[in-house]
Amino acid sequence: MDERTREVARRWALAVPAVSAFLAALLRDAHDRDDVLQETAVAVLESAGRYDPARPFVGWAVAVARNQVLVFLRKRGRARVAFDSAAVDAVARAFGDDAPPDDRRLDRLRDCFAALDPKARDLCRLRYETDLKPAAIGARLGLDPNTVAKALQRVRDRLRDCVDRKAAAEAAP
Amino acid sequence: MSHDRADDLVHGYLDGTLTPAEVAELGTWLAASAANAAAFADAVRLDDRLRDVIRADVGRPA
Repeated sequence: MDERTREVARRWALAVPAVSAFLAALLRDAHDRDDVLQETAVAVLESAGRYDPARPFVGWAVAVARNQVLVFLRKRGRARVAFDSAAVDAVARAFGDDAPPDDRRLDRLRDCFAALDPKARDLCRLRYETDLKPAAIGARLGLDPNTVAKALQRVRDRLRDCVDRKAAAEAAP
Repeated sequence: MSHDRADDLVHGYLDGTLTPAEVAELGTWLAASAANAAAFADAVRLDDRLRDVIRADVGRPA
C-alpha cells in the first residue's frame, strides 16, 4: 500500500460514522445501507489516488458514497433515490462537513432510553428492534397508525431533549 | 412550510410512512436551506443511533 492510500485509509476510518449516517438518510433499509457502505469503502481505497488532500475528506467520501448509492440502485433495477438531486445535494452537504456536530452528544442516548417509561421503551423496541412500521405496531397494539406515529415522534423528541440537557449539564463549569 | 409540517414529514420519513408526494415535499424543504438539511441530518443521526442502542440492549444479559 502506498503512502497516499495509507493516508486515505486512516481518514476513511474516521469518516465512517458520517458516511454511514449519510447513507441512512438516503437508504432506509439497513441491509441496503450496509451493502453500500462496504462498496463505498472499496471505492474510496480504489480512488485514493484521486483524492486531493487539500479538500475536506468527509465531503469527498460522501460524494463517493453518493455515486455508490446510484450504482447500487441501478443494479437492483431501481431508478433513483426517493429525493430529487437538489435535495440529495443538500443532504450530502449537511453530512459532508469535516467538523460534524458533537456526535458524542448522542453517547448519552443509552441512558436517556433507559430512563423512558416502560410503555415508551416497548414502543421503541417494536419500531427499532422488530423493524415494524406504525401501521403494523398499531395492528399489534390495537391502536390507530397515526396515534402510533405521533407517539414515536414524541418519544424521539423526548430523547433529543434528554441528550441535549445532559450534554449542556456536562458542559457547564 | 410550518415547523410542525416539516417535523411531521421528517418523522414520517424516518418511519417510512410518507407518500411519494410527501417525500417530494420533504425534498423541497431540504433543498430550501442549509439549516433545514442540517436539522434533517440531526434527526437521522439520532434515529440511526437509537436503533443501535436498542439492538445492543437486546443482546445484553438481563
